[in-house]
Amino acid sequence: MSIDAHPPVPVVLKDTSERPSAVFQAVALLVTALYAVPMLYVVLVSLTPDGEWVGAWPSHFEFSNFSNAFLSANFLRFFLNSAIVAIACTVLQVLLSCAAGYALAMLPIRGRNLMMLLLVALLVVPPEVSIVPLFVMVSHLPLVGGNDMLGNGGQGLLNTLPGIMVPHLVSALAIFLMRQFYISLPEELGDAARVDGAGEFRIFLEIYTPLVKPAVAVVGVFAFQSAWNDFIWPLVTTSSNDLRTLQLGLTVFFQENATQWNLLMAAVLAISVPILMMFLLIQRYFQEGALSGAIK
Amino acid sequence: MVPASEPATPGMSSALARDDMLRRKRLAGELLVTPAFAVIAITSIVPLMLSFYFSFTHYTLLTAPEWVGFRNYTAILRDPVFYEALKNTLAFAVSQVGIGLVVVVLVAALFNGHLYGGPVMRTIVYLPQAASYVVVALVWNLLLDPAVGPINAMLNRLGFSPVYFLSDPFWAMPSIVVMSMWRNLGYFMIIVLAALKSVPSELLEAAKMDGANAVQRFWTISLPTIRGVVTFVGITWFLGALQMFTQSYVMTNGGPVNATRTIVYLMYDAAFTDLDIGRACAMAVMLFLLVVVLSLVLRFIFRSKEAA
Repeated sequence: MSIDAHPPVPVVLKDTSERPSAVFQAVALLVTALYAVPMLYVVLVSLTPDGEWVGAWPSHFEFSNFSNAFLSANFLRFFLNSAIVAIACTVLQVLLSCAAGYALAMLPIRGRNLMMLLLVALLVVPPEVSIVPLFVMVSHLPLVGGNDMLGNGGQGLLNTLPGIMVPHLVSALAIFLMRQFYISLPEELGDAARVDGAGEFRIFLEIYTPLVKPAVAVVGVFAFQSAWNDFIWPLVTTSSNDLRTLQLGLTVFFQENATQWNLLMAAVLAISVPILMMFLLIQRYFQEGALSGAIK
Repeated sequence: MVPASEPATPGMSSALARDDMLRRKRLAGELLVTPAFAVIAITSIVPLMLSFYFSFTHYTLLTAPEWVGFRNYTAILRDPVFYEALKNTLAFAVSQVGIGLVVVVLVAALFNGHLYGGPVMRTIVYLPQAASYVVVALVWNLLLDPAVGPINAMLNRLGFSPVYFLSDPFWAMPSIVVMSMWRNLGYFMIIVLAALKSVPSELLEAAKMDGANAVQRFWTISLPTIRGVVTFVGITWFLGALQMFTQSYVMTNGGPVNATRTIVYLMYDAAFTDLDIGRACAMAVMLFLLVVVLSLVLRFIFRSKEAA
């Protein structure tokens, strides 16, 4: 059959329903407004000068609210704590889940089925179930924080940054995701490199891992988000003001200065910007790769 | 992959070489997998087992755990606050996911069509789920504030008296439900949107040729196709909602009069206010059983429905 057997589709046939319907467009705008209006309201309040009625249009934009919020409540310290914890957890989680995910996908390890079963089972376990015993373990860790060899006497890793990191060092979901990505790559790549005499670790790091960069980005952002946004664990393991994370510091600030909405909203904005930016940057990967691979 | 089972054509030395390579691959694999699983064992499996053990003991952190059998469980089951917390937790999860799932599917379908500014609008709806519950809770504290919140300002303009959303036992939980739904909508919308993109376009085109309108096409083609993903989203969302704590802690402190106290909140109170680790762990085990049982039941129900 020749290509010319059918004439090209005339322009008249072009589907008019491809243009947005006015009703759908209006509903979409309404839904968006339910999100955009509160966000703009937060921005407006964060720029309202002290002593002016919150919610009214401010007489001028008070940008010093941002610096004042940070100066007034040790927020710089909280920011540093959160950043150190979140970055360290991200690096560790990415390393551990790449290594384990690759081995589970590509290498003939013993007990693989058992490990996969364990990962899937752990996906169902609510993290809250482990919080109390983990607290006991962290506070009784031997030979740190004034503890003796049996883990008594001191406070272990309570009130330390490594202590805050404990629940976010590894994630079953991250390992599972990385394994799904590695397993979709052809085995021949590694075999060819082996014939050329490449070592196993080089094959892992230099051949396969560069091919799963989008997955690394997604796992990394998830890890960062879980550590940055965590609340209940830092709440129970830190009592010293110097070791609070941003989420905790923000809550305490709210409880102590509930009426200072302008400073509170300035802090809320400043805290959220890094994580929102990160999500915007990986949004493309997130939509195209991670989810279509994960949800099957 | 077992060398011995392969035909021994290339001779002894290459069989040995293959054996050697297999051993090297296995060694490398086990070295790579060990650190992650060692950390999982320490931070997930040991605590899970300890949770079960402590739940059968009287343990206050000051003295060694002392075996008491089921005493913690019977104490919890006799406490009327536990049933209130159980009811609150289930009400929160059922209403948030029940309403939220319908909204998520409708909004995803809406954004799946052609719209002016579609990607920008989608991104705006998607943003709050990246922020923490603390941040979103504080923003909603402002929005719902009786004195300075815009919602009460609007009600006032319409002639209503101010509603004390967070200090009124009737409104506190619905407020937290709405706030949580508002935050989570974007995350689940993206998942459903990805599923909608995978609906075969030939089917939709064919239906359009036959004169089906957008609503009919969605109802008869798209929705049945994405049913599995919607089920997955519903179950994930529901099980996550059973673990609610932060919203209550930040917005209402579990009040007014326990109206927003959840199971995890009771666990927190038991461990860190009453320093009763045993009872807190019994609560944790009950949450664990609730989540595991419900996840199995829900999976079973929806699987058998799909088969039917």
